[in-house]
Amino acid sequence: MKSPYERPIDRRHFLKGLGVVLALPAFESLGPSLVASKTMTRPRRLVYVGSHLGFWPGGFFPKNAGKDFEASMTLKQIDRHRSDFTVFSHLDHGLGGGHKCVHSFLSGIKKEESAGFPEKNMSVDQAAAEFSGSRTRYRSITAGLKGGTDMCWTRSGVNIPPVSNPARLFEALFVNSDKASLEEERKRLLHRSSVLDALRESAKTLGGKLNISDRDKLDQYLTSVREVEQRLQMSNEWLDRPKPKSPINRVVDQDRLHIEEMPLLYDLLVLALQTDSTRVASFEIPMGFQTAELEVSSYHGLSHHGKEASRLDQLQVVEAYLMRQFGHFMDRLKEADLFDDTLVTMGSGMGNAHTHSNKDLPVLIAGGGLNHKGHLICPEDNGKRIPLSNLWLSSLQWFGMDTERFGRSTGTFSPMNLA
Amino acid sequence: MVMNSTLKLGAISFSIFVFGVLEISICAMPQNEFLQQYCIDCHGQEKQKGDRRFDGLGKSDLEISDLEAWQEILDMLNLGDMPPEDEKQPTVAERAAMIESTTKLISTELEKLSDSGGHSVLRRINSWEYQHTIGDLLGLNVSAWNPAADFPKEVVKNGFDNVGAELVTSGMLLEHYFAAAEKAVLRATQFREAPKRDYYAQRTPFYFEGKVNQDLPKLFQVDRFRFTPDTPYTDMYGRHYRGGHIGFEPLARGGVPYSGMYRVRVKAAAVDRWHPYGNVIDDFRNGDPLVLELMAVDRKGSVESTGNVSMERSLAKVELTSEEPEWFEWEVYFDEGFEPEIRFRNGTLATKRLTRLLHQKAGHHEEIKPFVDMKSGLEKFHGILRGYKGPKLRVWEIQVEGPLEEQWPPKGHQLFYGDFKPDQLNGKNAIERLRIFAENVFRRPLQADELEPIESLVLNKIEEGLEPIEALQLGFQTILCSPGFIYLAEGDGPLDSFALASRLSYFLWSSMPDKELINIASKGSLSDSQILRNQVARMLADPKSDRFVSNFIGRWFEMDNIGEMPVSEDFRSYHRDSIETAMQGETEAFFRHVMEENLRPGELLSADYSFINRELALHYGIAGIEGNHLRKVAMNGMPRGGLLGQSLLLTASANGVDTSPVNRGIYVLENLLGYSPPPPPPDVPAIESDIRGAETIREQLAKHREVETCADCHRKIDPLGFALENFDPTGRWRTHYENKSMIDASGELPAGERFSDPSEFRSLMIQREAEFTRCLIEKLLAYAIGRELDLRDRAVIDGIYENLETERGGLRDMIQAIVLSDSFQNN
Repeated sequence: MKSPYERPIDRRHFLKGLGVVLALPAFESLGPSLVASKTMTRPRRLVYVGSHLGFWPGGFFPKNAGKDFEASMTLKQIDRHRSDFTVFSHLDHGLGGGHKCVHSFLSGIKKEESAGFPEKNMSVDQAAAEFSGSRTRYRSITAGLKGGTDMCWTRSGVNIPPVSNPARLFEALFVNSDKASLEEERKRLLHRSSVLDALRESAKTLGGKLNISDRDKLDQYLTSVREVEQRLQMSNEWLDRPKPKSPINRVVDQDRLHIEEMPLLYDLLVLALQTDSTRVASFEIPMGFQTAELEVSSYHGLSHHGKEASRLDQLQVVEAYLMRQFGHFMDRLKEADLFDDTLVTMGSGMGNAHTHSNKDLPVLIAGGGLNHKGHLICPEDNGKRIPLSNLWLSSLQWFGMDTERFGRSTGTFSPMNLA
Repeated sequence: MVMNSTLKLGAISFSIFVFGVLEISICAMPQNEFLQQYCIDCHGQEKQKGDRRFDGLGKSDLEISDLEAWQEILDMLNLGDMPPEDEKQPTVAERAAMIESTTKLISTELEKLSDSGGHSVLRRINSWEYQHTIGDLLGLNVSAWNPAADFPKEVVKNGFDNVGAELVTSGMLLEHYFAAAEKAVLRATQFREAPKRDYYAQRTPFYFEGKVNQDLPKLFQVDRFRFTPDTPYTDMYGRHYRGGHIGFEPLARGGVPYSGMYRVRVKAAAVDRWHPYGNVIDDFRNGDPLVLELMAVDRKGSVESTGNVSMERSLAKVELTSEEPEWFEWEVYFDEGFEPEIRFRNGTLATKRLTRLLHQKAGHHEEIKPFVDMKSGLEKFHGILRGYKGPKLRVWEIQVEGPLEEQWPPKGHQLFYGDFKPDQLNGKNAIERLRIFAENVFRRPLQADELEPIESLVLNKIEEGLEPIEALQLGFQTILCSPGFIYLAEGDGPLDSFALASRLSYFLWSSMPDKELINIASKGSLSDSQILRNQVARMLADPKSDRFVSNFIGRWFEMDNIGEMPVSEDFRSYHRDSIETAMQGETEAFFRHVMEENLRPGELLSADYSFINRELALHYGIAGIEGNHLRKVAMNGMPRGGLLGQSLLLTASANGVDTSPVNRGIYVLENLLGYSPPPPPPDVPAIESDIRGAETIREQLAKHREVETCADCHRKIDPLGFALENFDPTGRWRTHYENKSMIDASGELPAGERFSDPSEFRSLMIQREAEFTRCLIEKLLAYAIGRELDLRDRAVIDGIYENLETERGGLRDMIQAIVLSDSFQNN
């Protein structure tokens, strides 16, 4: 591991970094082969952005409700989009546990209670990914800065770590394997199906000697074999289809600062959606987000501000930066003509990092062609509160899924119509 | 949350040990009766206020939705929101009893709904065990190449990541198994001729100009912070690669040709450890030894910036104090393609920053003066560096020799192919090799026909025209992904001797049994308790038992916490001085010492010594310790010594930024005293620390404890945390908080004993030896058998404890007793 002290802190490099932001080409220049033609039904897309430490409530939530809400310190950064998003007050999962609960942001279920649920602690993006299936090369793309915030979970309760190296993401999206490795991969896939058959048979030879709970474990194994088989079919389908041509220069492998990586990863996600490489994307902002280049103390340290004014000011610098980057992401989605077909969620499983509270989470949704409501204050009193999972359920329905329940949802999201 | 299942064990059976406070559950009123009396009127058949109906909750087979309802009831009771004020109220005792029993009910029922019904589950080997099994099976160095590096994170239950019932197998994992198996087979296969030992050397210069070596990465090229010296040595100035790293030209074009052990020698000296620049050059501690670090790096042929190290591994560190050159020598492992690089580990931040600070703030020094007003450029920076009178790591020469004598072909290759060459393989001998391999991989004799599916796979592939060698390799890969490998099948009831050998080996080695253990198992002699005892002693004496020590310590002390909430960069010396590595080493060496000497487990609390190196000594404020190696140091009269004064525990119980008496208190209760306090009721507002000075954390917590629902637990929790407040989030001693207010580490345990500082607290904890010893038995047993303990293990724990007391036994006796126990020998 590299010590953080080996990282160069170089002002000039930093300033150059800010200039790195990609100029995305206009929609048309990508050519008809890369994007769904406008005459076809336009596909819908989901994006979830989550940060580990959330936002200081005092700087995030607007004071008044409605479309004419007075922008808070943090939301001021995206005020130009004010008619295109809705920010909610008093939404959460009714869970607690501080840092150890943040991973439940997109599932509403903590890892340790997941065994009691048929779909474990599957997150909303992965539910959408399953539905999206092999329509795109990738069912979903989970990106984020190193460390992430553990918010994406599969049906079997396995965490999907984010891709944090922009070069890897670029390769996944645009770089075709050379002929030799393509051939090797084809061979591998060809053999793999017979290997899977052999594994299934091997597992069955064990079956007879096992008790019930062992057989459950064996079933899990066989299910895994089936999952790989399904993915194998997908891989086969996509192996021979060339990847889209990249509209930007190749993103190379190099040391980057977080403030360089973040805009780059956001831009790559826009390209992923624009080229229809995926329809479900997420972006994770870790507690280890490096803040030295913003000339403030460590992010996690600042989140424990002790209400001290100078520390709160520094925290605001970080949070404003994060929100500004999110604003740029929305700009890009608009430029790429994707915004109205993309429902973007931004928020955190942390309500107040200072007190380690997971109550009253910061959540906003943007785009999706919805009739946005500005600041929507949900019921605050116990017994009347609306589970955040209801919003997740409605976003799945908006995506086209025919489902009536997600995790702990009690119904669709009543305060706002997402249809 | 509700499913904290040590709670079950803790609260019912062991709570009586906690500080001697007797707590008998006072379940005066069954749950149903409580519901009937206080809830059903509004939430029953007649009325369903708030759409809630609870009259059906009394049944025995509860579903998840029923449990959700129970949870809601529990929340309401905890909050005191229900029954409403104008309705009949339960007494405080009734409410408390209902809360307790409902918490338990939910926890038990949820467990029933989860995967495991009984004890027996196929326990999948976890990532850590997979890594070491592959290493031992194929003779691969898995610290250099970890086959499980990208595996999905394992589920952690009560601190442990080897709980069979919790270990998920998923399609994602299986795909990782495929990739890892393919690489493992590739790495272990060595049909090449035995490598000849080669010798490489490079004298200064290490940086080049002009056309020479232009194909090399920037690290080798002269720039502002690297120049070709006219001396017979080259100096390193900073910690960062520019001017602080030196590469090795003879191996810079693709690294070493063979994986293996290499001898590396470096001729170097430490110059100007005392410098005249005061605090201008930041965090370098005047007079410190200079630390030289040897790395193995893989540049994948890149010539970008740093040479884009795509992978790196620290091989060795040494502290230099002599101004005269000395030779340093190591025997270290290099993976094929890796090359050596040496670094100035504790150099000041970066040479670039150093030169800037020098000409900005030390311009009045004679050696810097001429360059202050000079135009930026090579001349200026080289001039500053040549004149610089601060710490320099001076290097004359680097030599590399290897690979050193080793078995050829390597162990894994032998196991795969015996003496066969690829063109000698055919269907028949391929099947033979397959069986030999499978028997090793499955850690037991093959059962009739079980390999048949994989044998057919290989034969079919050969028939389809695949080269026999490729078909065989496909077979090996398949075996490495099959259930026989990735699961420990422990069956029902008493373990058979092979299952016992595996359980033992995964306990003490985190890996498969070796030949000797398998031989004993096949003779059926493992049931002999003396033989088993001897095996435990033999295995603990083997270096492979380091895996047990480090993994168990990591699990026991919840090292994950540090990974999830890393120590903030604001703690500069912690990062500069590699405290994290040193503190893990400290606790591991300490545990190993108590185990090897077979000392009483209480020694872990009461020892008046520890194992530290120079940097950890400085962290602890102890003078006079030189050198990077850990050694036993007396600590009597200090607030150190024993686990409670060790940085590992103190860092893992903080959050990388600040300490919380509540978190530390719970941590000590759970990990040293074996008691898990119930989770706080929801919606109790967390303490909002306010460092503007109005109120101390102690005053805030005192308020907390005035609340009835909080008081009972916090009386047990808080004092343990306050007692450790003199230790900052990285375990350094402090007397004041950041806002200058004085730390008060006094307190009173629930049983009434008072203490005024950490030392007095430590004495009181030493008196809790009994609880501590039981706690350690539980942790070790759970780790050893890979499942959660339940009430059925209670008698086993009692037995081990009582025996240990009667015999005045030590830590090694404890481990042996665990292996001989019913819980270990049965499934």
